[in-house]
Amino acid sequence: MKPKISGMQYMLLVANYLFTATLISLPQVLVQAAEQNTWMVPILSLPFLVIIIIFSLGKKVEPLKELFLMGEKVTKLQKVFVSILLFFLIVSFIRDMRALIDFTVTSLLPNTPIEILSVLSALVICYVCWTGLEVIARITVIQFMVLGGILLLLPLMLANEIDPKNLQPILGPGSLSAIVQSWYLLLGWVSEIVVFFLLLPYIDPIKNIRKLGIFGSLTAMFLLFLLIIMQLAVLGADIVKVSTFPNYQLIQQINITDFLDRLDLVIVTVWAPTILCKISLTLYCINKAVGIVRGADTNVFIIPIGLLLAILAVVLFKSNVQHLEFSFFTWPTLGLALELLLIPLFFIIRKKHVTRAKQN
Amino acid sequence: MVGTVFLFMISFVYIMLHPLTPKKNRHETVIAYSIIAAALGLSLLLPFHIHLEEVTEFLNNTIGKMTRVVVKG
Repeated sequence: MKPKISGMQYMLLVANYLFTATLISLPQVLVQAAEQNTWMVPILSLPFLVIIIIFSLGKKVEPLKELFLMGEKVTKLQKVFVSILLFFLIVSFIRDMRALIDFTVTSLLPNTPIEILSVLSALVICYVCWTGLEVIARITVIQFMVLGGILLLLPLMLANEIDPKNLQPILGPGSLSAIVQSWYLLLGWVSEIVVFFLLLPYIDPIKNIRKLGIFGSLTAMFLLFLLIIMQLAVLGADIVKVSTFPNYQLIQQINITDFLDRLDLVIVTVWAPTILCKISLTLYCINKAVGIVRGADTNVFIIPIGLLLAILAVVLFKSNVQHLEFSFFTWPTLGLALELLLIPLFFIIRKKHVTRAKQN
Repeated sequence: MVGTVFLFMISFVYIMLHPLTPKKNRHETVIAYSIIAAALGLSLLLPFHIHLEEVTEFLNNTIGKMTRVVVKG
C-alpha cells in the first residue's frame, strides 16, 4: 500500500531535514568566514530555497502525484536523475552518520569504539526506515516540535549570559564579501531539499506543497538563525570559530539557578532522535531510488545498505578532522554541483510529465 | 576488531531471517547477501590498514581546495 503523509508532516520533515544536521558543527566554519555577521547567512539562504521550490515544482503540482511512483513507467531521463540523486543521498548518509558518531564519541561516550556506535546507530536507523515513511514522519513531528520548543526558549534560558557587544560591529568594512563566502558554504547543505522530489507521490493533499515547502524551509532557517545569533551573543565569534560543536558548548552555558546546570544532556536527548529521523529518511530515499532504478520495490535491501554505509562512514574518514574538512569545504561545492545538476533535470522531467498527463 | 565481530553477528542474524529460498525474488536475497558480504569485507580491511580514507583525502585536496579558493579569495 502506498504510504501517505499529510502536508503538516511534509513541512516538518523538510524543516527537520534542513536543520538537524547543520547544527552539529557547521556554524564553526560559517562564523570563521562571516564572524559576528553570520546570523544574516540563514536569512540570505531562504530566498535561494524559495527559488528552488518554485522553479522545481511549478504551478501545476497535481500531476506530480504519479511521478516516481512504483508501477508507473520510468523514462531514461528519470533513471539518470534518480541515479545522480542516489549518489547524492549515499554521500549525505555517510556524512551525517559520521557526524553523529563523532559527536557521540567526543561528547558522550569517549571509550566506545566508533565501529560499535556506527553499527548500533545503523540498526536503529534501519529499524525506523523499515517501518516506513509514515512512521518516520510521525517520529519527526513529535521530536522536532519538542526540539523547536526548546530552541525557542533558548533566548530566555540564556538571557543572563547574552552580551550584545559580541554582535558588534554590524556590517563593518569588507563584511559583505565575508557574508557571501559564508552563504556559499551553507548553500550546499540547505539545498538538500532536492531529496523531497522523490517523496512527492506520498504527500496527500499535494495541492499546497509549494507553500508548505517554503514554510518548512522558513522554520529551518529561522531556527538556524536563532542558534547562530545565540552562539555569537553568548560565546562570541572568537570562541565559536574554534569550537567543533559550538551548539553543544552553547547549551552547556544554560544555568538556571544553582541546580539546573546540566540541561545539555536533556537537550541532546531530544536532538538525537531528530538526526536519526533525518538519516532514516535518507536511507528510505536510497531504498526508493534503488527500487526506481531496478524497477521493483523491496525492503530487503534496507539492512544491508544501512550496514554497508555505516561501515563506509567509519573507513572513509581517518579522523574527525578529515570528516570536518569534508563537511566544511568539500561538501558545499560537491553538494551544490550535484544539486545544480538535479534541479534542471527535475524541471525537464516535470515539464515532460505534466505534458504527458495533459495528453492522457 | 570488536566492530567486525559485532557486524558478523548481525549479518548472521540477517541471513537467518532471510533464508535463500527458491522463490521468484531469490535474486534480491542474493544481492542483499552480497551487500552484507561487502560490508563485512570492508570491516575486515580495518585491521589490515588498507586506507580507504585516501578517497576522502583526494576529494578534500581537489574539491575542498576549490572551495577554499572561493571562500578565502
